[in-house]
Amino acid sequence: MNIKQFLFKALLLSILTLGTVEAVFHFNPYNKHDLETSYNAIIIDKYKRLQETPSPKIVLIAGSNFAYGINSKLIADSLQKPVVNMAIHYDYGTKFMFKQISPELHKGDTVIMGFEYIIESEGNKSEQLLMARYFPKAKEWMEFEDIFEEIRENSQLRIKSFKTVLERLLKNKTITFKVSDTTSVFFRGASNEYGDLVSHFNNPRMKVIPRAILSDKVSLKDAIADMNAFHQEMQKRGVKVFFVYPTYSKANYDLDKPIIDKFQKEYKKYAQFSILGKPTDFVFADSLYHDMAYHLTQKGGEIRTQKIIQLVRKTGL
Amino acid sequence: MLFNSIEFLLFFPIVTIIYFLLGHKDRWWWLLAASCVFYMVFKPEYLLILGFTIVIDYFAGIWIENAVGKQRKWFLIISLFANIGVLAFFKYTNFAIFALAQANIAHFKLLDFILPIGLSFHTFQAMSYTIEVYRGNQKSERHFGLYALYVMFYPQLVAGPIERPQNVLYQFYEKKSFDYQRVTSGLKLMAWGLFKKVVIADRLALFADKVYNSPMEYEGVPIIVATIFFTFQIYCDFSGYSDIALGTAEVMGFKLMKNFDRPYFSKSISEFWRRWHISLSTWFRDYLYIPLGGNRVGKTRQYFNQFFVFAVSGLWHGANWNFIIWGALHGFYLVFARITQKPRTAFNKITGLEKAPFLLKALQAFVTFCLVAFAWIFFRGNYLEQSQLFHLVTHLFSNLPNLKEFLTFNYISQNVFLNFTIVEFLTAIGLIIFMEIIHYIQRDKSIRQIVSTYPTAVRWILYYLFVMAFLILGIFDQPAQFIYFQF
Repeated sequence: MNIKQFLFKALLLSILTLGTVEAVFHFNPYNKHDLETSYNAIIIDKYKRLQETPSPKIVLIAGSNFAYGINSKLIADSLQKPVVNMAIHYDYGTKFMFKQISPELHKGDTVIMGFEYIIESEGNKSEQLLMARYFPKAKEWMEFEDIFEEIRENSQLRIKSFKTVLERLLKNKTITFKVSDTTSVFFRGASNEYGDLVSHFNNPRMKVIPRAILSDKVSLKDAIADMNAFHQEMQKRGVKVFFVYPTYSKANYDLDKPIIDKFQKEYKKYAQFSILGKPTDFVFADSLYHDMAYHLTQKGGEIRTQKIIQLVRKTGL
Repeated sequence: MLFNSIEFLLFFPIVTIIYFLLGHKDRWWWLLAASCVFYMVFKPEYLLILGFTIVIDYFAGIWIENAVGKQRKWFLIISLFANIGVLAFFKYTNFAIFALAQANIAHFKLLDFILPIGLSFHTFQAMSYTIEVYRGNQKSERHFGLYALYVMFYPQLVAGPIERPQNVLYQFYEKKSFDYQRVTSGLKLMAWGLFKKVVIADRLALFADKVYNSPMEYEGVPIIVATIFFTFQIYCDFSGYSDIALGTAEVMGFKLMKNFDRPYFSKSISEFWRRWHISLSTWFRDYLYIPLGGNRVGKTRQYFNQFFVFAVSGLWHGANWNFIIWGALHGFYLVFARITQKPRTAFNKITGLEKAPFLLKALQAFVTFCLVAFAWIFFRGNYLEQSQLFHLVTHLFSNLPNLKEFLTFNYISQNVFLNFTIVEFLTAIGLIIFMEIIHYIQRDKSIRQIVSTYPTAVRWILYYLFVMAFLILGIFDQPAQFIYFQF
């Protein structure tokens, strides 16, 4: 057998095997169900609201600490401007999130950033791709290091999907989520009209808030650089940009104070945008948290929102 | 470049196809260029370090061959000094600075650089060249490109097998043609190696890492379970790498030395070292143990030499006390085994074990496995703080449950399954058993040969199922680095 015949055979086997994975990815019987229920698909509704809300509007951007712990209606009523809460998950990274909202921001708009202490610039590509699966426009917000990373991430998504489909077929199980139930939190219909998560309101909260993971080896320099670039761009457009520190439970804050102090120093040193308040403004008793150091309960969310309103009002908005 | 990366998935077919399309005369430079690219993916500037030792050793080889008398020794010393110097500087300087500071002897600033990948491997391979030329077992290589390729041949550049010049250099002169049987056999070996790494090792790592990443939270059974998983993880990780290396070379027509031979079936520690990382253990035997006197010296000296060689072998793995302890522990096992040889034989006779050879062998294999697994705690714990490692070693058998306690689902779920699901746990165990069955079958005949005798349709179904199993069972979250890359 010569090399050409061998290559033909190898190619055929590759097509057969990879074709199976690709076919399962595209003709996944759960595609429709996932589109309707997946938490990553919540972007479809949030983005629609972002596009449809007229300027001047207030846009909130961060990870789940904003998704959980904000009462947008309170902000809208107090500041007399429509609010869009675009926060979903910190792991998308700052670059991705800014690309997401930038085109829809116009003169007179206000952006309030409230990124977590673990925020990264690049973010997690798997999470970003997962969003793009339900909302193809999200591909435009992604940046790959090189072609290899793009191939790797796309392959991983397909393999993950292949495994999940097989597992679900075997278990023959579809999961339903409802705001009214007492267990579900992360699903597409989990937010109210503003984009605030409300699915956890009637779920029991954890008695002990688990330890959060913060590392003193991490630097926020890259993420702050993204915030600066975003701020500069927005200044040109006449959009105001503010930053507030994320919320953090008291017990965790006491343990992580030196690391948070370090992050605060980085913000002070590098940030070119307005920072409203200080980290301790958003540190509350553990009883106001739902399931982790960043996730407030309904009551906690209201207290925190009032604090944000107070700080924003001081700027004259 | 990692063997389990997308980059390699593109690199390997391109390099191999062009290799076969080129004429024999042009293949050396193509392979050398490919090897440079393979190495430069990690840190391009470190190619200069490799270049430095290659130039020194190339000329040292020629000078040794041309010189007479004591001059030959001097040229060998220059070569060894250059290689060991590079190794010592990059790998052991910070360790020495740290040790001096700890002992309060002197305080220097730690050097800030990353260890060149695979440094210990290619340095040892380079040293074996000049030593063999010195000993007259190998003619010095006059073709600079081929000598560079001997050191840099990408399949074994960063994690071995550590080759000998007699086994490899002549192969670069041989004309290699495309041989379907050989190419597919090499590809199957690569696939098996990749399976061992991505499916078995990386899956077992989930269990081992759980305990070893937060050791203070565990006592007794979970530590034992995690250590057993790590014992198989490191085997699958490293032997998987070696299989891919051997397979890659085989596809192109090169035969590299076998690095593993079912080590966990060993019935003694000395047998284990004849089956584990064979290319390194034979290196130490040929270039350190025998020159120190080997078995020609008195017993006490032999014991010391054995212990010393193993401690050095531990140090070879990493500039860390854990590795030294790991090596020294193996040295101790060996010496202890030799000292207690007679009483152990007597014990087997008295208890009647001698008359039940299968039981005796099984018992010996079990004890050897336990000793090896215990030593791996130090190896795996190389990133841990002293107190954490101490906790692992001292709490290995603490808080053990009684039978009634053990046989509750809650206990097993937390301490044996380590909070993974029963399916995940059984998958991991099943994969270990599957691998050992494959190895057992391979004692007599290669599975690759057996498969190649099947009709085409059956073979294709098997290939298809293999890829599907690989995709379904593999861990693909991140391309995990091979453990031995750090050395």
